[in-house]
Amino acid sequence: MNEIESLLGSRVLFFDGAMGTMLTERGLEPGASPETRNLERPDEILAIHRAYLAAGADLIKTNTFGANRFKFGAQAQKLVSAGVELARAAVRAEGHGLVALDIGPSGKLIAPLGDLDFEDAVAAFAECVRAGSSAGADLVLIETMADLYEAKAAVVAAKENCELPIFVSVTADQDGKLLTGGDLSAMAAVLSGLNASALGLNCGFGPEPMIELTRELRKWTDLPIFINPNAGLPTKKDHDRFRYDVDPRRFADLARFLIDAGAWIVGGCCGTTPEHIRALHETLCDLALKPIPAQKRTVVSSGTKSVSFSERPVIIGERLNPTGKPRLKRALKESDLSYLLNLGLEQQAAGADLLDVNAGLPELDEKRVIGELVCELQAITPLPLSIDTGDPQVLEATLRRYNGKALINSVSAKRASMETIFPIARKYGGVVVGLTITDEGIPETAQGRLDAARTIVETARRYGISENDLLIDPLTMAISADERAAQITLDALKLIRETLGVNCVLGVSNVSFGLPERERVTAAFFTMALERGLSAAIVNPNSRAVMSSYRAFCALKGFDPHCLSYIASAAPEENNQAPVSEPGAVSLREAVEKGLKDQAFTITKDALLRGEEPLQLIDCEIVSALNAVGERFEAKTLYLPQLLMSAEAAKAAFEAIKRSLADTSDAIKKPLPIVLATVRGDVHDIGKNIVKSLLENYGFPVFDLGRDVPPEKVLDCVQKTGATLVGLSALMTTTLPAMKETIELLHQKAPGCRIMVGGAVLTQDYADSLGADHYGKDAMSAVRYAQSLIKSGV
Amino acid sequence: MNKKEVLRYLAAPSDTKVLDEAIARADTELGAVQTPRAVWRRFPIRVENNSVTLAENVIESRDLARALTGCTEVCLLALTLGPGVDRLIRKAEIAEPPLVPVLQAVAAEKVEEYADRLQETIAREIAGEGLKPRPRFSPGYGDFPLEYQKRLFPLLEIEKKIGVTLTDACLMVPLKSVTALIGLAPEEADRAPNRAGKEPE
Repeated sequence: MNEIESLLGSRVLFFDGAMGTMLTERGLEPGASPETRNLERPDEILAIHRAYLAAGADLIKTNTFGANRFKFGAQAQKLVSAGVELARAAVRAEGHGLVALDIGPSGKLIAPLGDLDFEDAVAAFAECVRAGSSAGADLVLIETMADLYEAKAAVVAAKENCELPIFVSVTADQDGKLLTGGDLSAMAAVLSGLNASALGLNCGFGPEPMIELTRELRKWTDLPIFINPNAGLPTKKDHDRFRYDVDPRRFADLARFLIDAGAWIVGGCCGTTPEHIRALHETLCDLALKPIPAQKRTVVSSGTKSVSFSERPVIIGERLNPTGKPRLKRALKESDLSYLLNLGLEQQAAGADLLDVNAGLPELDEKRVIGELVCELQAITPLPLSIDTGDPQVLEATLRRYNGKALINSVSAKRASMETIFPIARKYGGVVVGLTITDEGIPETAQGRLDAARTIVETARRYGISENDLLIDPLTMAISADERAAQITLDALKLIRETLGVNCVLGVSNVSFGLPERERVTAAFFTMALERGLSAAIVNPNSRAVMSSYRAFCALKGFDPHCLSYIASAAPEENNQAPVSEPGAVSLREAVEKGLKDQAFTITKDALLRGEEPLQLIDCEIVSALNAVGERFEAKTLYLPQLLMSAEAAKAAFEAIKRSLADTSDAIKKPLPIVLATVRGDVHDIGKNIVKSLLENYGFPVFDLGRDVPPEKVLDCVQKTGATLVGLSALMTTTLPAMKETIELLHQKAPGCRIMVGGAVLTQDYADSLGADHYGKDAMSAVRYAQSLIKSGV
Repeated sequence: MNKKEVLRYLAAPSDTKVLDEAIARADTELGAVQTPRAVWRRFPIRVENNSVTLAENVIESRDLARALTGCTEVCLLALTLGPGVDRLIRKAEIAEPPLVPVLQAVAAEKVEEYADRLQETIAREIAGEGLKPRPRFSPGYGDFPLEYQKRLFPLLEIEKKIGVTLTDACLMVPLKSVTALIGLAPEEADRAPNRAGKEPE
């Protein structure tokens, strides 16, 4: 056992205090890097470490907080090695202490919100970890994290490059929120899932607000907790010298409450000095540690939100699964992300707590598609996801990049399944759905399924996965095939809950397969299962019957304070008594012009049912309405939001046509594929996205490469898709050179391709000087240009 | 909120019921997800003809030097509406594109108003010292290169304090963020303030 692991829990342990504060007192200028002093003034660093050890610190943080490749390039590793060696030297000189390799945030934000690729973040942290561990660190301390995704990248790097214990602390505001929006329950879920050795909080607003936060964190993790607060808040005494307002005595008095709240290790961050640590040591060294209460919660999370399966039953939206859904299959094949993402958002709005994501189609590159879908979903929804795949490689790749602690769907009680899935779950964290299927098949009795569940629970434990991180699925079978099927499932559910205490999940809708009025049977079965202790269900949250049963159950069981959710969900039903559109009240043309999305869809659907020709509807109603709206936009009698509303209504009408046409969708697509990209270096893509939705709604097939796109990628897409028109956007003057480079590359390698450009800093003259074929002053102008190309036969 | 400014951002010279409702909704939705945070600090500066020296950083920019002429100090300010705003706009791009330009315009106005409020706070702080603030001047204005963001960020520990990060091209994420220099000039020395240009968003 590592020395720190044997010390943990034996007595109160002490981290050191601030390094930066001590260096500022020794003349470090604001904005200057403390880390370079490892090489420039090593004696100073050594002296500070020694002062902290002499004051009673057990663990000292190396002076390597920002020593990463983003700030120091190739010098980073040298700074890390030097930092660890200095701390080691201090430990030798003082005769006690352990060295924590200090790793702070990269300073960059990981994609999709930022521009740093997850694997690049892992690689950068890995450099620090390798340098620090070979220089003799005793543990890795990942600290001051504000983004759980980045914390995950750092932990993955540490796990893959050393054997040292990993401590992780985040910085949170008084409400326990991280700067990127996550909370402590999500933090605990993600980092416990990744097998950190201890979790903590640092920096922030001083020891006092940390007391409550320590209590909160204690609720969510069974790992040891360490707390390194600032010495209060900086108050300005003079122009460029900050002083912190909590003195050593008071710091130590407040820290007493941190131990009381469950912390095992305390120390300091900004503004703390060896005097603070000495006071801590004197005041706290004889205090008894609070034992860690056993955790009984099953929790998954995204980067910002956790969901616990141990309270109110959880709804897992099943719609993002192509099985039996031709429209979804097509969207997956065509990479129609906006359709797919909307399916996610609809389920969120309908009350889903989690979204199941499955992209398993034989003709699809599942790894790429599910990876992209998960990444994009996580950019727009806080809901945790369930990664639903039968391919362990796809699972591993997806879990690695997933932001949070996912639901893993699924493992079975078959030996081979458990042997492949559990190690992946152990490495990246996750709650695993365990199907009660054995090597012999599906047990036909409740007892048989209990036995299978027990096999899963016991095998998981051998891989270091507790039953908290399992959801057992006793399997729903169709009663139309066997009338005892539901009863066996329900008995198995009850037996498993009572015998093993583990949480359970069911995909409920299967029960009614082959029956008329399926939803009634499904809803009744769902209620019966909930009453037997079901923790979660994979259902269609858009099904009114299913969700009504669920909400009624929650209200009856006291899961719904003041029945508020029930009341809120029941209200729209009353309002919806009146039909959305009165037939005949508006024409399709009017609906599109006025931007009435729902009506446009319904009217189109009805028209098609009456036998009207799709092409007729498109040309005479939809396109002519769009043109009228476009003209009014150009005449400035109507504005961008209204133009987009009409475009959305047109999209809804097209959607109705698409559904009716099944496979002849080419009929409504214009023969001009368009590639869109925001150029390299630019992350402002809102304008480009508006152009995209408008072009799509006018029926153009659009390949959107997103933002920060390198020139080669644009060319590659043009060559692959045969696109004859490319739209490039740039918002900042600094990214115009990248636009020029992209245009030159396209002119050279894809000479037949036209290029239109747009963005806030561009003008006609500038566009001409870049060699663009068209300058789009607004979104409509892009549409007009594309239309003109079709007319002229490009 | 100054609705006139929002309409100006939307290039909509007059109001309509549809826009009105959309603006009100955007305001509510942004209000629910924004987490405004700011950090600022004063630094002594030296202003020369074509450069400004701030905490040992020499900034080559004639426009900035001109804007800070007569100032003995600057207040370096960084602020953000937080990552929730970026997420909300991305979500709207998928779920409700018509709302996107409205969210964009309202968020831009919220950033400006937030910066104005902070500037007033700073003005009150320094009033007792006989100093007056100049208009904000940000990297990217005039000939003040965006690259200087890399030097400004460590001065305030911007990433750590308010969670704003820089991309390789020196753009800020979350997108609705601002860094600015506010010149502080002795009251009597101050002449009519220079008009600062605005960033194109």
